[in-house]
Amino acid sequence: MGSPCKLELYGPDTTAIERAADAACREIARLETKYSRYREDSLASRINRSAGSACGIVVDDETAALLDFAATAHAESDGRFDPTSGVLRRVWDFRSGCLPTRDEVDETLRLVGWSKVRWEKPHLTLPVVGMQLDFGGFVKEYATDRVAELLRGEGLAHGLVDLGGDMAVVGPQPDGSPWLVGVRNPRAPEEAIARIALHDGGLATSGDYERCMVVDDVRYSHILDPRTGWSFRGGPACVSVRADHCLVAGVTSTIAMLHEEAGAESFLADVGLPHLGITQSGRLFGETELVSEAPRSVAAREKTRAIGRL
Amino acid sequence: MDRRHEAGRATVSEGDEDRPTFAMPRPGKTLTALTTSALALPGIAGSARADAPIERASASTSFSYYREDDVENKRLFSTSTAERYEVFTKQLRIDFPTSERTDVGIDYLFEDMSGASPWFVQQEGGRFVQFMSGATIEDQRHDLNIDLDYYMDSGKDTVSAGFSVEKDYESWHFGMANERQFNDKNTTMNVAWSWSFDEIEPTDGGAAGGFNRVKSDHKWSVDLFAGLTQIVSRASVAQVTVNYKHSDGFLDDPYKQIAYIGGAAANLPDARPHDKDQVSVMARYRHHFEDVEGTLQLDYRFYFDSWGVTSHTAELGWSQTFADIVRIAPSFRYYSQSQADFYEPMVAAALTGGSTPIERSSDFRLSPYGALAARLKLEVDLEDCLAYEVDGTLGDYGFSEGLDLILGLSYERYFSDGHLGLTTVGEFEQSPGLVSFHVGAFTITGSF
Repeated sequence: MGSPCKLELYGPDTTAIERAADAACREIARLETKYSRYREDSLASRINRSAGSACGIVVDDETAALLDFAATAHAESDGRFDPTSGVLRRVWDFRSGCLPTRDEVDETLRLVGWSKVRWEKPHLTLPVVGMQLDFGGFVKEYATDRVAELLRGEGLAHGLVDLGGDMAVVGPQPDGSPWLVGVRNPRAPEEAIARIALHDGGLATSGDYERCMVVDDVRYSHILDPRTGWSFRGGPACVSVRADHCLVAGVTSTIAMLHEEAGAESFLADVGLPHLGITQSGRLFGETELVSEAPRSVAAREKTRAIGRL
Repeated sequence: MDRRHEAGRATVSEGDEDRPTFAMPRPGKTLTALTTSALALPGIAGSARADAPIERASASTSFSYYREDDVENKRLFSTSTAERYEVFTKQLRIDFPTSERTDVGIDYLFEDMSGASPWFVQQEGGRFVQFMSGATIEDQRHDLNIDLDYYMDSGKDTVSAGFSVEKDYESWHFGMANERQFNDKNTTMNVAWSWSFDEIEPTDGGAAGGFNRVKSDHKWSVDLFAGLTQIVSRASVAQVTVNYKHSDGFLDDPYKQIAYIGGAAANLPDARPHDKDQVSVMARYRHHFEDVEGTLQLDYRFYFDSWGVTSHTAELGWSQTFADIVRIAPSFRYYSQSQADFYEPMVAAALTGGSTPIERSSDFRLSPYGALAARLKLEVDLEDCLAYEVDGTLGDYGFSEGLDLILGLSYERYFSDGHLGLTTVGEFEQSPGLVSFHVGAFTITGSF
């Protein structure tokens, strides 16, 4: 998956835990094999090789569902979330310290745009040679949710899945308390700028932590806007979102990062998910104490409150 | 559910049920679209999150004191006692999970009642006045109810059963309720049915008792309920409910009589139809104002039954929270009811001689009147006020490592009068036995 992955699991039976962890690792490996753009034999690479051919490629149910999800995210974000934007990586070389030329970006933009893709389940057609589908923007979050669900299915009641910062709770800590997760300070990554208590659900963080380029005193983050092909400026430094599924959290945080700071705040408020963001100047916004409470039955609480009336 | 029988109870309870709180915010269109799409993916739809069984055990106890005002002089028969009812109620409720998807609730109530209740209406000095029951009634009531809840991904089923016993009355009931949620848990539907069987053996009943009172009798009833709750926006919730109840059997109040104007013959016993159909429709709305941390509460209920009574209830309240710890909720309620077809404070002498009315009652609860009530509730929320260690077994029954306490205090003043109703009530239609009361309660709720 390209990043450090960690499973924290608790249970009374070590053998059961090991078996469950093995199953989890196999699942991660399966998804990696299938969707990695770095592997020649992956489905993702096969899809990309089919670009330009009129007959396209037929995909399996899992991929179809992922594509439907990506389509929804694209529509809901007015194009900010775009699984075809991976090709822009070719002209943006952050290690070189050089900006791409306007022409290079425009040329590459011809290959970008989910609206150009013909997706009629189960038929996928990338009409122009060179177009690519990049699952990297959401498969890791998907894997996180799948692994958490798999572990629950194996009977584990306490655990946390952490795939490179994308997290999903299997179940709370053995004593019932939530997992405490730190959000890294974008400008000082060894420090935590906030602690988030996760009782259930998933958490994903998007930030311009790494790979930025400074040219002529201007900071260019690695977050590229698929609509312009250019490095996006004016967005927050990082956004953490909590949702029932890490996949939804991840896509929401990615989309939030492609809004100007004020726009990001109102986008996140509209979506309505608990979130925490940090602006470029270091100001926190959102729920500054992002605590996920243990769900209590509202009805039970109300019933007990009802006593006291005649 | 208010399971108190009507006979012998002077309280007028206009049916308070569980209220919807200011619940979850309504997810926006974007979140709904993304979540629906995500749920279509294989193997990631998790097990229930919201509507999980209560994860924490909780217990609640309350003490309340209810006292009716003495009958006003001008409405009281000169030789009658003026004092009315006084009730002390103690209640204990415990809820705890019994498995991942089930929980149990046990509710026990004990009431100590004493005082006099309206017996019949007399004429004195050109006015109708109330004659109260002679000896002071003293009675105790025990009420036990048990619910079993089974939780599913978007709903829950409940089975409940219970009984209530006092010296002259026994009531048994059981029922089922189903709750289902739709639209991303924005819409909740509730349906419920229950059946109850009541047996009454009035004090001093039978021929030997000397009051021409029935020795023992019974009734049964079936109650159907349906409700729809909709989260309208991030800050508001609306609810509509419908309730139908059919009662069959002995529905009279054996402790009440109706007297002849002029005293031409002995008082007639209270006699009501052998069945009754009741319908009520209620609408509720709650709107939360985030910037002031307050919630507006509006309730309206329309009721009618086969005895001719129709009523309206309207309630307006405001719940104000301070620093998430203190909540103050004042509210005002207005109630108006029309009379039952067979209500008469007294029977005219002209109807004697073979044509006594078959159904008749002087009970003030079937008379036309209006009422106003003002209530104030205060709650203090002490979260995590005590921390403790919990071992495995206790943890399975919902004990976590801290105690959350809620302390509540409430007071209500209720006042009723024939002239407060929506329809004009003549001086000789109004019951002199209409009641006004104070009730105060103290509650402690603990979540473990």
